[in-house]
Amino acid sequence: MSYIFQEHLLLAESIRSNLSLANPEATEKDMLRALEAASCMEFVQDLPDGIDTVLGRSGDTLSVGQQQRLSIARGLVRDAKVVILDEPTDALDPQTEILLVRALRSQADDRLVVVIAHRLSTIRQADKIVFLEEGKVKEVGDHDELMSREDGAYREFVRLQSSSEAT
Amino acid sequence: MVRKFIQKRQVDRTSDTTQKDHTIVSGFKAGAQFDDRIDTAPEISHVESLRIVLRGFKWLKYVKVLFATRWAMRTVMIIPGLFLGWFAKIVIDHVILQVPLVADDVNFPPHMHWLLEILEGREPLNIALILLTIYVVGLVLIGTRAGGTGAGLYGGRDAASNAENAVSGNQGGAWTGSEAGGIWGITEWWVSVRLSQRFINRLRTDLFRRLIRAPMTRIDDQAVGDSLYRTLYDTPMVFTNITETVFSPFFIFVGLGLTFYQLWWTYSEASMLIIGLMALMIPITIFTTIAPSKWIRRMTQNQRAAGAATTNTLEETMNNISAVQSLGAMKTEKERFANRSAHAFWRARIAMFPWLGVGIILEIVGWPLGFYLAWHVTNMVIEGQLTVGDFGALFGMYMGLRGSFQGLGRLWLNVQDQAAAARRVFFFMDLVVDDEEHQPGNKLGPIEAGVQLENVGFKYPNGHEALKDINLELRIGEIVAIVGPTGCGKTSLAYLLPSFLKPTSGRVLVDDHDVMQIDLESLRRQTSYIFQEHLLLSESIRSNLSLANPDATEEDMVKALESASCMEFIEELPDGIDTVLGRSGDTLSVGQQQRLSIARGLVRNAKIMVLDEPTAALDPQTENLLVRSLRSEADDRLVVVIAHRLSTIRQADKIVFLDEGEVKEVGSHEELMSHEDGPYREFVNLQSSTQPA
Repeated sequence: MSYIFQEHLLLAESIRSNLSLANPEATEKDMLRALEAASCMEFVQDLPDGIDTVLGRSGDTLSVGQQQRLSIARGLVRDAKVVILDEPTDALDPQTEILLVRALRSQADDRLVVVIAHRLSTIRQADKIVFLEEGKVKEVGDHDELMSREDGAYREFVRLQSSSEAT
Repeated sequence: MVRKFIQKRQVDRTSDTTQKDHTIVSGFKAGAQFDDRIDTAPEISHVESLRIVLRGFKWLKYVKVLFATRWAMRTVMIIPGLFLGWFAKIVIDHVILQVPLVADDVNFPPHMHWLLEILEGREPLNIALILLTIYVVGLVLIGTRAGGTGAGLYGGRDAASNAENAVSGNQGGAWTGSEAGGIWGITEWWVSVRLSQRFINRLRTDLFRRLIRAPMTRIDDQAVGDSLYRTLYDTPMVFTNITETVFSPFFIFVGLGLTFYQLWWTYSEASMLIIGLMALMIPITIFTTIAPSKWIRRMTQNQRAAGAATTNTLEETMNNISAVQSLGAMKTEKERFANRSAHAFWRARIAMFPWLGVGIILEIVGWPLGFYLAWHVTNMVIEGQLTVGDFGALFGMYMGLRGSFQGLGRLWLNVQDQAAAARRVFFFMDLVVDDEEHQPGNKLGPIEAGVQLENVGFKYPNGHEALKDINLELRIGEIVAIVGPTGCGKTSLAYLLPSFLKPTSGRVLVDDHDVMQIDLESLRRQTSYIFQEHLLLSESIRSNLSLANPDATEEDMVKALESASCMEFIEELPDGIDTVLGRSGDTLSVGQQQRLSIARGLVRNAKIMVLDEPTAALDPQTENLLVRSLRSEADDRLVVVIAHRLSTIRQADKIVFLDEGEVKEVGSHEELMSHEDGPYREFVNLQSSTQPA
């Protein structure tokens, strides 16, 4: 089980030790794969000490979006059967988000991935969508199923979301 | 050999540092840095250590009266020492050995004459009774003078427990508490505890004041546990240092003077011998204590850095408890803490070695001298020049003198020990605070025009160039959106406005004043920055809002809460606006916390408002409401929004598109969309393709 929080909580240590905290048995290869899946490699490569760079608390090492991606990589390196992502894409720009969701998609074969999300682009890729309201499950199904319900709560949500997003 | 022995010990001393290029070799040699990223050069010279000692005296001005009272009370306690030895002599010679007391025939210093006149010619039992009466009165007033009054804490376990003792205890050589007992002792103890607490409280507060004014981007690198350790455990050593350098030499020299007076008056012949022996002790003491002082300084430094590292681990783990538990890292973290804690204790043990060495050398030298004196005085007693009671009095005085000389030697070592701790305090006192980089006093009036950036560049100390040659004009009344890919410098650019970051080249002008030339507070008061991470205090909603604006009325608060769409959930909370927020999610969801932190920014009613990805945790409906309410309030304000969502970006009057630290395009949505190959247009197209059509 691996839970990735909305808030990125990294320890002020090296990137490597943040990853091995999550999985002490992770090999260099496992770590690189997780970093790649979370689109971290592009900025990790630019850091002076690469994966051994010690993270500062202030912004001079990583931006919030980069920290967020790193904390996703930390969740992935655990190689857990159940991965929960709590609004993982908040601090990511659209391109990065597409990459991450794609990476999750390709690794989901032998895993259960639970994503809490607002963005439609993320939601639409799910096999099963659970629509919650006031603590109760209103609807369950994939995007196309739920969209086909005339007065469905999910459909209403998507309509609202679309109207406030790009048109 | 010593090093080999130390290296064989179990405690792992190499794994506990996160500092690259700073492996801890051994306590005697390398300076340990552990988590220190700002204070990285802890070595100081003898001269610097003296300067640090003198610096602490500045804080005495807050405790003048208490300090003088304490000094006077302590001085009075010299008096019993003038009598006790001579009481012993009377008891031995005239009570036990029953030699008749004749005032003119016995050998006593002048201050004893009044008593001798009372006792002259009396029966031994009578003499004993009178002395006993004086002793009992003394016992009630000043106690036995042995032990004294203190807080009863034990020192020497680690630096933190020593610090607690320095505040309110009487062990481990700290000059708090009293040497006396009885009524006098209790009074003196009270005075002395008040003195140390007031002094240390003032110093702590001053250090804290400096720490919270240090530039945000710099102090962020400082581990919280270390700041805590410095504020709580290093500050008391500054006080101990002062009492050590004022009281110790004063009372040692007064004590020496009085002993010499008594010796000279009573045993002029034997006193020459004692003085000669003491003269021998001086060079030996100086040599033994000067040599290890550098080690002591370094080891104290290491010991304290290790203690702070333990506190850091605790702070970091507890602060990230959800990450630790969700990643199943409890065992790893427990071991990390255990390692560091053990390491800190190991450093405390190692730091005792120089002291032990000095003590042993002084003992080894002291005892032969004592034996020689004993042999010589015994001869004089046999020859009838001195009485048996004289032997006791003389030997007692020799031991007292020897103690004084050793005390003088230790004084220097104590100062070294405390200077290392005081250095840790003064380092952060000296760190340049934000205000001082600007022009305090040169107040900025209400902002009317706006902000202008002229060829602004920003380079981080590690060489990373976050912003390059930026020219922008942001006017009051505008909503400006900063747009660009992750890591392109959006936050760095926004940080320039409240001067969280100072440009490394070019100028930031507010109403045509260079921000570096104006009073920082007058600028910050007119700006409101809402961070990506919502940082609410674990207090009530109301106090979170009044922290941002102490003058806000209930009406202002409700208006801000409404604009940020907080009222709907606050109305459902048991105590409404007075609900106390917990740290965990049981009170508010992350989205609600985010909205509340936006409301907190709004209640400030600032001229410049920066929202750093405010809508990340909001669902689209809420976002629409927020942006609309910002829109309606933007007339006499400059609102800067860092955003990813198109719905937010499109509402801006001006869009600044950043990439790799450079401004690529500036203009309204329509303008920028009309640029055929414009990067903004490309960005919008990408964004739209990820959203439903």
